[in-house]
Amino acid sequence: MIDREGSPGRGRHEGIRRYARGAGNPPPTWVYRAVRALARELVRPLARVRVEGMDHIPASGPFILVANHQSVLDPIFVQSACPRPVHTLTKSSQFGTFPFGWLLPRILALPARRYRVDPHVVRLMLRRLGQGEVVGIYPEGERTWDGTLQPIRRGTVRVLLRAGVPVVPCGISGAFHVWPRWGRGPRRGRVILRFGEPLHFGVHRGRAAREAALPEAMERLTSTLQDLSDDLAGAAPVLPGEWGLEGAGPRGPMAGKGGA
Amino acid sequence: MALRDLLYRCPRCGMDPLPGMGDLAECPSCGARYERGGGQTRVRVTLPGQEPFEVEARRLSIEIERHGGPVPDRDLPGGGEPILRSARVRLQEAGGERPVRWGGRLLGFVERFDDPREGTLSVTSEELVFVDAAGRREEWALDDLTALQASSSKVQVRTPGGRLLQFRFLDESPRRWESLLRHLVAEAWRRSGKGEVVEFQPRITTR
Repeated sequence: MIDREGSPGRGRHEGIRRYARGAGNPPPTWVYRAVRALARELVRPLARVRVEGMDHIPASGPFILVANHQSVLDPIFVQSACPRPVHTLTKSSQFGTFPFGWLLPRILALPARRYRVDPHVVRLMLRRLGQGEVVGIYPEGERTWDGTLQPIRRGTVRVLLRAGVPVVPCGISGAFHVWPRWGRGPRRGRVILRFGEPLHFGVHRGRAAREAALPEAMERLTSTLQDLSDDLAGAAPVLPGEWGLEGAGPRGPMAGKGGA
Repeated sequence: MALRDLLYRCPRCGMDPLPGMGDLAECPSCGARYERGGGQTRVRVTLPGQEPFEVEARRLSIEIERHGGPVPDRDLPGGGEPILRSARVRLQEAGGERPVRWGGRLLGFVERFDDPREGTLSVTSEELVFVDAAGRREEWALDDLTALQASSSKVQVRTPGGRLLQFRFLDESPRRWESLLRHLVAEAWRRSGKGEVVEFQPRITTR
């Protein structure tokens, strides 16, 4: 059964409201706000951040914020820009180390186990959404190695289809340069955050309905994030001329030799 | 992490492995030098006797794929099934999970890893083999693995029975190993008739 999200009346967010029961109050946000302000000041000398599309962020009500993942600094950029507190899915192993184990719960991070299907974190997300909160997800599940968007995880999209709340896409560009996954440390650079128009996937009750809607939703989310983040997936290979190999063929004289 | 984790073989000539440290990698075969560039997603390339130029990291990844990507050019010596690659690793196994609570409520769970064991990890087209410093050997068939993923400098696999193993690579690129294992696991699953792998995490799924 598909209940199109965005339709006025009693059906709005009905799919997730029941999860709010017994969930307790959402954690207080004063630590979150203090850490966010501090982090913003710490990254200010590193990155000039430009934010576009702020008007696409709903002022109230639940939504899921999805962003591409270029750098370890992405949560700071995104949560500094988003005016509402964001409960961000974070890999659970981060909670096992100090000081992150102490800090992360206080800045509303939710521990997600990455090596197995984690129904607990899905329930927790739906509870937070049921309470009218914002949940942040990096649907690639890991940082990019080369600046391009990684495949979106199917499990994430299944959750979006189940929650039925608006999905606000956020494209991050430039964070890869500031601190790439393989980089030894940060460098100064420009970062652009583009919030796109909220996507409405509808509420898909039942596994069969979600599986049927999955391919289209994955494609829509992937193309939206690619557009918003200037993805380089279609980049051309390096030209032989650039390699200094004119007349030597596209693979070069050493191709396939496998080392000295 | 280092630039050679991204450029695990030379994008220009295919030399494998490409040595380097930190934000620099240099190919002893063709002389190409790679550094972190000054622009978005770019790497600065200096060829012998030429002015440096910058290219997107993605374009260098494409070049590596054109040279065969993570699949080695030659077999390393080994008994039985040829060993495709081996590396020094530190193995840890998750010995359980502990709850994460805050404000009196359960937030979730975090894996507890046991003490690391150093040894050699090898892979053939059929299996993953770990031999520790004391010579103890463990092996897992690739078509039995249920999850595979890279995290920072590690690759994690889940074996049948729910064992979660984490391999930290001491002097190899975790990206290469993740790509190589994905390639080999997909092949092994296809060969054993389990289907076409479409996702490796949080569990391997096929269509």
